[in-house]
Amino acid sequence: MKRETESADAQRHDLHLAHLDALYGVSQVLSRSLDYREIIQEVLRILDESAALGRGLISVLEPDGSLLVQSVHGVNPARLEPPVRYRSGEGVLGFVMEKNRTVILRRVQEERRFSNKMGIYDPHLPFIAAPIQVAGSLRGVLAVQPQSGEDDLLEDRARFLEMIANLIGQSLRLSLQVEQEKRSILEERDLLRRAVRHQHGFDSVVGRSGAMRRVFEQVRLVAKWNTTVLIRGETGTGKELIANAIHYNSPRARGALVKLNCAALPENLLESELFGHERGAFTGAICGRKGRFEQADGGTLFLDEIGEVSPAFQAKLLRVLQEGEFERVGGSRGIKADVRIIAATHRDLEAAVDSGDFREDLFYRLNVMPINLPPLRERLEDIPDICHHLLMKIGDAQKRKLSIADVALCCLARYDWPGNVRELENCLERAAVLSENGRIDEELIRFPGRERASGHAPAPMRSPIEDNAAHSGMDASLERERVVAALEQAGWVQAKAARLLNMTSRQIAYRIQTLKIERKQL
Amino acid sequence: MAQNVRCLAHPVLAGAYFMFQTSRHERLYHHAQENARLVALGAQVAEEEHAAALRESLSAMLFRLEGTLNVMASVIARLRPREPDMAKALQSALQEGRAHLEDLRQFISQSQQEAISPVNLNEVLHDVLNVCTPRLLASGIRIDWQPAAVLPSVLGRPIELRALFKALVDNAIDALSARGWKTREISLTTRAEAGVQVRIDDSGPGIPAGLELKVFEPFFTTHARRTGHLGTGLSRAQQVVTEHGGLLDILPAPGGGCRVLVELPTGSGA
Repeated sequence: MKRETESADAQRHDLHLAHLDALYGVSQVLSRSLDYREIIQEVLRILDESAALGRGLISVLEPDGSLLVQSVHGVNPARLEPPVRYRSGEGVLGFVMEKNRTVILRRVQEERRFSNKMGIYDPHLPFIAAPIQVAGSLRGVLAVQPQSGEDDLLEDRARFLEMIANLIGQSLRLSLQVEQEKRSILEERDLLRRAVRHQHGFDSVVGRSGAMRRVFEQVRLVAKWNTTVLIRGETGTGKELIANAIHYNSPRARGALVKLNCAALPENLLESELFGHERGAFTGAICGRKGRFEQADGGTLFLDEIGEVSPAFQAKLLRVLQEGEFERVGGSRGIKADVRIIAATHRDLEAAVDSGDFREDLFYRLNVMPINLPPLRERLEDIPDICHHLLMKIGDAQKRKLSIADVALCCLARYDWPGNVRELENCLERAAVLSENGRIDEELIRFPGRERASGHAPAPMRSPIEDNAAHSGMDASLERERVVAALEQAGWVQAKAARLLNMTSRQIAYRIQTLKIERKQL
Repeated sequence: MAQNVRCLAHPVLAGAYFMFQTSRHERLYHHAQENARLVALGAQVAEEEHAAALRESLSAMLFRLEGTLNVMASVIARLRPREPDMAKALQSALQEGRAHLEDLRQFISQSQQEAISPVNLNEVLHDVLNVCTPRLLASGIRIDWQPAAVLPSVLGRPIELRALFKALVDNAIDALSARGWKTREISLTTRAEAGVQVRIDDSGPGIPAGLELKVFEPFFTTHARRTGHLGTGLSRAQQVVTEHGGLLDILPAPGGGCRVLVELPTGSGA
C-alpha cells in the first residue's frame, strides 16, 4: 500500500516536472511574438512534446457567438477547410463554452455528447477542455487529449491546462487589441490619404489658357508612367503644384511624395539627406538614417532646384537614375528603391550645360519629359480665374468672403508679374488684409518697386530682386517682400540670399527677425 | 390537349386560360427582347473594348516615342553650335517625326469624342454584370452585388465608364480563374460616399508583392502573351478615372485577394 502511494507520488512528481518544463517553453513562446496564430501553434507543439498532451486544439469565439477551430496540433490545416465551428452547447467544446468551466473525460467513448467532428480523437483516451478567459468572459476553448489515461493524475493535468489557457488568454487579448488598433489606424490613414489626394488633384491648378491646357494634358499623360519628369518654369509658376498633381494622379499616390529643395542644403548635408547615412558615417551620426530616396520607395521624389547642385553631386544622382541603386553615406551596401523622380528648376539648364555647370548626360536623363510652365505674363487671360481661386483660399484662412472688383482685375492684368502666381498671391493677400469689407478695389492693388505698370513692359527673365533693388526708400512691407523674394530665390539659404541683396548674413538675419519672416518649412 | 379543350368549354376558365397564355407570351417576348438587348450590348462592349485597347496601345507608343524625340531634341540643341549643318538636318527630321506623332495624336483623340452626361453607376455596373455573366458562370464565380439604394449620378462619359468597370470586373475574373483556386467570389458594392464609391473585391490570390505599381504600366500583364491580353486594362482604367476627376486605388482585400476602389466625384467635377 505504501509502495503504491510512493510510486503514485513519484509519478505525480515526474508529471509536475514535465509540466514545469512545458510551462517554461510556453512562457518563452508568449514573450517572443504578438501574432497569436503563430503563438498558438507553437504552444500546442510544446504541449504535445513536453507534456504528452496531444491533439491540442484551440478554438476562438467568433463575433456571431460560435467557436471557430483555429488550429489543431498534428492535423493538416487543409482538414479545417471548410472551417469547423461549434455552437454554444454543441458537443463537448460547446458545453465548455456554455458552462465556462473545465471538462474532464476519462474516456472519450464514454461521453455521448462528444461529437468528434474532425474524427481525430482516439476513443480510448481521456480528453480535457479548458476555457480561455479574458477578464472573466470566455474567449475560446483549449482542448487536449492526454496520451495516457492509466494514472489518477487527470485532475493535475486539467489544472495545468487551465494555467496554459489563462496565459494564452492574455496574449490573445493583447494581439486582438493590437489588431483592432492597427485596423482603425490603417482606415484612418486611407481616409486621410484620400482627402489629401482630393486636395492636390487638378483642382489646385487653375488655368484655361491654351498653354495651361497643354500642361494639364501632359500631366495626365505623364502621371501614369514611371518616367522622370522635368518641370521648368520661372519662380512662382507653380512647379510644386504640378508635381503634386502628377503624384496624386498616378498609381503611386498611395506611396509617399517626398520633397527636397536641393538649393536649401549645403552639399555634404544634401547627400546624407538624400541617400541617408549609416551609423558613425560622420561626427554626430549616432544612428543610421533613411534618406529621402528610401522614404520615397513606392512613391515619388520631388527634387526642387535641381539646377543648383554641384557636378560631384550630379554624378551621384546620375548613377541613381541609371541604375536605381545607391549607397548610404558611410555604407557599402547597395540599396534599391522604386522611386519616380520629378525634378524642377527655374534655371536655363541648356546654358548651364554649355558653361559646364551641369552635366550633359544628367541633363539628357532628366529632360526626357519636360513640362514647361508658362510665366503668368504669357497667360494673362487666366488671371481672373486664378484670382478667384486664390481669394477663396485666402478667404478660407481669414474666415470671410472676399471679392475683387473688375477694375482691379484689369489693373492686375496690366502688370507683367516677374514673380508669377506667387507674387500675385502675395499681392492679393496684402490687398485682402488692407480691405475692410472684403472687397478688393483698384486702390488696394499695389505692385512692389513701381507705380502701376503701364502697358506690357517686356521683362523676360528679370528677377524681382533686381527690380526691387533699383528702388530705394521702400517701406517695411516692401522691404519684407524684397527679403522674402531673395530668400525664395536662394532656396531659403540665408547666406545665399544675403549675397543677392548685398548684405552680410548678420544683416539678413536681423531683417528676418524684425520683419517677422517665417522660415519656410522644407 | 384534351384537358385544354375541356377547359375552354367553360367560359370563365377559358378567359383565365387566355390570360395565362398571353402573359406567358408576353413574358417570352420580353425575355427574347431582353436577350437580344444583352447580345447587342455584349457585342457593343466587345467592340469598344477592342477599340479602347487599341487606342491605349497607340497612345502608350506615342508617349514612348515622344520621350526618345525629346532626348534627341536636347542633343540637337547641344550639337548646333559645333555642327550647324548636321544639327539642321537632324532638326528637320525631328520636326517631321513630331508632325507624324501629332497626326497620330489627332487621330486618337478624334475617335473618342463622347459627350459628358449624368451617369448612374448602378446601371452601368448592372450592364457590366450582364455582359460578364457567361464568363462568371463558366468560371463558377459567385457574385455578391450590393448596389446603394440611392446613388447620385456622376458626370461622365457612359461608354468609357462602362469599359472601365468591365475591365476591372474582367481583371477580378482573371484573378479567380487560376486552376485549382477554390473560393471564387466577387463582391461589388456601390456607396454614396466621397462622391460615388465603387468597390470590387475578389477572393483571389491578390497582387504578388513587388508588382503593385507594375500592374498599372501599359503593356504589363500577368498573362502569357498568346492569351491575347494586351495589358492595357489597368493603365487605361487609371487614365479614365483621372480624366473623370476621380481616384483609383488597389488595396489588399480584407479576406486576402484584391480590392479595387474607384471614387468618382458627383456634380461638376468631371
